[in-house]
Amino acid sequence: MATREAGKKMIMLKSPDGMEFEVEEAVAMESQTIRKMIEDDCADTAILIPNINSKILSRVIEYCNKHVPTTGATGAAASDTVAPAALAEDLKIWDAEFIKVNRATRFNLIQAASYLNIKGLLDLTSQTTIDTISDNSLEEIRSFLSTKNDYLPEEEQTIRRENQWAFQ
Amino acid sequence: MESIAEETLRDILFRLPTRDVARGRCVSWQWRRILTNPSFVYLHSHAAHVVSTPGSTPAEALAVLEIRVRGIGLDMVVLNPTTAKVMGRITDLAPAYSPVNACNGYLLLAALGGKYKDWPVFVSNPVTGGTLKIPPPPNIDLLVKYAMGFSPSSHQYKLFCLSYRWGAESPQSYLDVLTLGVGGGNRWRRHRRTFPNHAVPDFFLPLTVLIDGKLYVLMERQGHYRTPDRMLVIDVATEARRTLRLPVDSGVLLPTAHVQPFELCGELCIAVRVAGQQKLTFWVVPPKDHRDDGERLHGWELRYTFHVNDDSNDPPSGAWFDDGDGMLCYRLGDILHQYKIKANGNRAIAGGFSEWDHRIQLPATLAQSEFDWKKTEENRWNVYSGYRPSFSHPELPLTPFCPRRC
Repeated sequence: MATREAGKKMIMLKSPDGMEFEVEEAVAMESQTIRKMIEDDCADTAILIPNINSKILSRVIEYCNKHVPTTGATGAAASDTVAPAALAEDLKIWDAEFIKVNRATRFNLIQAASYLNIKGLLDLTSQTTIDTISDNSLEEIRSFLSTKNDYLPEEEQTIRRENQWAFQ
Repeated sequence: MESIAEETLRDILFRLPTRDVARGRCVSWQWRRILTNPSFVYLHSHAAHVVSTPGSTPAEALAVLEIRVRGIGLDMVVLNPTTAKVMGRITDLAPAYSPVNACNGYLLLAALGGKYKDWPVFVSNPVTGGTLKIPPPPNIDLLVKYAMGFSPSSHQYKLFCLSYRWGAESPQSYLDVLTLGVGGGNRWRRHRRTFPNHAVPDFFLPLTVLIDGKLYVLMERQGHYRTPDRMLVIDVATEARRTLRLPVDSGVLLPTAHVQPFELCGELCIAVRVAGQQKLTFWVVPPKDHRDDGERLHGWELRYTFHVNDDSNDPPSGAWFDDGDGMLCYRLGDILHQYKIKANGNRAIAGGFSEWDHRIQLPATLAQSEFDWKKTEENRWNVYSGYRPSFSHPELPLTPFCPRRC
């Protein structure tokens, strides 16, 4: 395989729908959950990732590939030529594009980031949800997060009155 | 329909600012259960994005309207100074009390003036109504001022009390400090010779500002009534003190100067209006330039100059920054002046006058603030910067993440 260079250990990730993904160990270790498995020597053969289908897992790997710190021989050369600030700016733009997905995909990405414990991805997916809550009305928040309003009208009135100070 | 698991939802909602936590409680029963859970509330109110730490939610300005019925009592209404929207009420206080300063989600209330030196102070959360009563330090001769501070580095809340003792020789100044919550033991500790003896803090200038772990207290020269010329700077974590000269004329015959300190995007800013000059200036000193100078001026930068019509005799005034709209605000009497900092660029033209973007007649509740001896009721209001709403209760230990001293 072209990517199988000297010194780069590869890891096999399996989704429950039977797809297999071969990734560099460094990329897989962006996930603290997988890192722990590897460090505890539970990862001899393929690692099965439960509850995350191949479509979502491939997007998660895409994210990790982009965000893995550029270290080692080729990485050092790259960071010599590109200023860190420009690199961070480039990542931000990439993240903004990456998160332009439909609601169901985003929920799945949140669940995956949470289960796999990938801080950057969890921050990114959570932040869009946080922004949604900050910028929208209660009705819009409910529809956005598929949350049913189970308050009786008078209950909602009372609770809104208690929290009236927060509505600008 | 896909939805998020409750545990993950809780992790996400934990990142919300306090205002959105309050709104979130109105979404559904599940959200309300998560967002009112006592351990969620406790941890959230101490989270790094809620209290004053680098990168946290910007501080807000609070207007506190004091409604005094002489001989009976005092109620305080806490409002947003721009919209006049009510955020909370603090009721049934003795008329001698006034707000001193805002510190994260709390307001410190104290009775101002020497004869109230044995009265307790109150730490109050205006949103929840929770209040903590704290006895004053023992052996106070002449009470000067209280202030409340929070240190982002040590995650501690502290109360400070400045006082004097008049002896046979020169007067002695004291700073009593009480660390709130775990580890502090709620005992006052005393520092001696805490501020220059020629500087007398003014009872009638209650404004004290907390910026990034440092308290700035206005001081005036002895014998120069209402003419502050320096600030006492107290580092909340180390309790170190020093003075900072103000960029005001320090000649002998000083006209009355109205100096209002506030936080402008993380920097210390003061609004200076000298009586009789139809002029208002805003000065900023970046935090790195706060050197211990004593007598020399350091680092003050004249940022903006405005014309103001100041014809009436000593109208109430106040300065603050409204972060939401990026608006520099100045209240003079019943007129609110606003200047859009972000839209107009961060720096004004050197030496030139800037133009206000808006001059607004204040809402009736905030406009009336004249003291009238014929009336038994007195309303007055002031603006306090450095407020960051939270649901924290002052009676709970205030320092759960205190890394060293607990």
